[in-house]
Amino acid sequence: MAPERGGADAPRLGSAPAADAGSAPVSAQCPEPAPGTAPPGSRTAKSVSSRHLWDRVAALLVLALAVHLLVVSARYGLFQGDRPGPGLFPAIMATLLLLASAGWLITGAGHPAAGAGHEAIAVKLAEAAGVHPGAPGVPDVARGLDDPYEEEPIDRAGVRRIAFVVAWTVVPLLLLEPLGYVLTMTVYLAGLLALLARVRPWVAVAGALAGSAVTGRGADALGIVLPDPLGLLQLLGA
Amino acid sequence: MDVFSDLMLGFSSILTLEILTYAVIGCALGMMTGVLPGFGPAAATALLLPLAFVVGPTASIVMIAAIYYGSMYGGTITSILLNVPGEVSSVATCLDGYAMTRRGQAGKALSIAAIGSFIGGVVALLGMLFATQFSELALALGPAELFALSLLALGLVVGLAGKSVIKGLVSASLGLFVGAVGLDPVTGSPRFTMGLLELRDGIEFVAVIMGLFGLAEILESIGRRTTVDFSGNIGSVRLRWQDLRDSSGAIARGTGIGFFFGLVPGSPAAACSFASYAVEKKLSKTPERFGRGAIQGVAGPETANNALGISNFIPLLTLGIPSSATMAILLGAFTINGLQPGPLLFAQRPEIAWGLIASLAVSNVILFVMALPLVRVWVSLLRVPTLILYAATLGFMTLGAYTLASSTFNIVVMWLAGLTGLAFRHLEVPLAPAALTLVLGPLLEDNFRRALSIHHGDFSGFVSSPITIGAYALIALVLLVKTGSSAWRTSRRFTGASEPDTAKKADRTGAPQ
Repeated sequence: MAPERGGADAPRLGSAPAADAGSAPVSAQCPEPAPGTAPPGSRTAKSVSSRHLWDRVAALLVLALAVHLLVVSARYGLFQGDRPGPGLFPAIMATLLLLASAGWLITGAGHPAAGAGHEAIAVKLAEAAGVHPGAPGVPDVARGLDDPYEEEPIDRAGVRRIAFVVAWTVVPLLLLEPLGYVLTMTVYLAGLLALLARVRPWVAVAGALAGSAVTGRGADALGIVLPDPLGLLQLLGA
Repeated sequence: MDVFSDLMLGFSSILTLEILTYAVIGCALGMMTGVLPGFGPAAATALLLPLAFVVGPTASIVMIAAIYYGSMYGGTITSILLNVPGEVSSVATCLDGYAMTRRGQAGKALSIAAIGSFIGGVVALLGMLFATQFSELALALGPAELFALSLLALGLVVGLAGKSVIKGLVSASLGLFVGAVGLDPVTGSPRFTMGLLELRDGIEFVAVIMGLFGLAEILESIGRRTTVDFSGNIGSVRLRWQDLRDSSGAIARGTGIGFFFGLVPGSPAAACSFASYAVEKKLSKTPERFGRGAIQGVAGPETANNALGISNFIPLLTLGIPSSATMAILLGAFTINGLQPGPLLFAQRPEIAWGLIASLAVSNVILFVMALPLVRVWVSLLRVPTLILYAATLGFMTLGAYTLASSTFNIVVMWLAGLTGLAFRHLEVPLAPAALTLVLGPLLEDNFRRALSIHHGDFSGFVSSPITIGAYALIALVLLVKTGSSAWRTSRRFTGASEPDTAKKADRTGAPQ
């Protein structure tokens, strides 16, 4: 992977140090996989255990949702005389969801027995051609074909970056209608550019303003009505 | 009308300056988005969907087809230049494409990929013309048969697309519920709206798809800080006569493999490209060159991928059933325009149905013309830091989600779908079944209720014809085989790897044999 460019050296938002490998193949930097045989206490084994836990938590949440949907569907009415009511189809789907989520909770949904389906067929065909997922020179994405645990989880810095991006969405949600498109998008984009992409603040603001103005004009040309309570789009000639 | 005059009708409806301009813009935007690291056609098409709604239905269809084509070639560029495939199906292209790049022959690899894609696309289109003649047969199907066939497509996607049947079913069921939110189509009573007025018209399909596919991909990339850089030399894009001769067989076989794989719902795209790669290596007199920059290793899989991309449209156009996540996204885009791809479209709106086929042909030509001259433009895009690209894309997506209904509500929907998509990716819950049921859900329920009403509430009506019995039997077979295969792999992993497996692990060198 190549290092990020275009900003200060010190990473913000806890960005991870990026390895400088020039234009080396991405896959070549990954360790050789050992499918299904992770030693206890190893990073992969911890990852497996953590994934099992998250699988169970997700299965439990879906199970609870399925029960709720089944109850609600039944209330809509399953039959109206000899005709199906509004709740029949959703009730059948909720039952299917209930059974599937119960299966997920009990079995862990196939872990560690992944790799069936067309991906397994692809692996077989690839191996027939002498290509093994996970080997040097074979792209990372192929690793997931036969080993579900190979991919490393997103690190803490990555989680912080995602959390920031999610939290920053509050800007368009709160400001778009009261302040209008141009100002809101300028603030939103400038924040993302400066805090996430580490672009210098004045460059970020200038770039965001230009981007907002151009897209605002473009949207107007296509007949899209954007919120403009302050008349800024009109000022820009839209 | 015969096929020729039908096709002429399609061309006459799209060959205007305005619509061709939209096609060029769609191709360019598709390529630009497809170049984004990790973005496959599904994510790229999802991201650009709102653009297609600001133009009329015909222009919209042409633009969506062009975006689809462009995004497929965009993925090829990153596969060849960076060894970063947009999706698993492009892995086979990387093997020799990237090897050619390291030997300074990236231009040649991109050229043969463009030529192979063009030929594969043209031949698959001819096959599609033939297949559309069977669409009239589908008009004779009743609601029970249509329900069974839709369920079969879904069953194949659940059975073939993911790693776990259970998770595929969870994904499909959740998609069905999202599709069921809103007013009941028969009684008009609200369902699952939680008292929110915004949900009475249902959840905006485009916002959900943008979130599940586009936003989830961006969040994943931001989290992993995926960075790419191409500072190498593309080299000449000119092919020698010998290169073309060497590739001609691979292109012909890739076309056939891709076309027939594309007819199977479940879209085994990865298997398709590797099948082509394996066949080429097997037939080659110099198999040792594979993995070290054999031009056939690029020509075969790329041609197969494109032929598959076109023949994927056949189940959609003849039966109205999408066979992959990308086809489901395209189907959703058509339905929002008030169009229902399927046999009825040929009967009711022939200019649109044939316009779609003509637009695929036109997009194929536009892409072929645009691909190579503009490669350096797309490569220059890769020199922009990815986080800047993602920031700009997030701004574009926010604008797109807002414009769907001039409401911030759809921004919320897109983000909820995006976070769900991210969670699904990490839990290995496949997204394709959810995409299919989001679109097919209303159709499935409509046919289910009609069939049950016709039979006065008697469920035996669902298994009253050979087509329905065959469809249900096939679903059961696929799911049983998949579950059995999972169970077998589980027991094998718990009891330890067998001797041949150990040998395989020791041999995981990736070096050509």
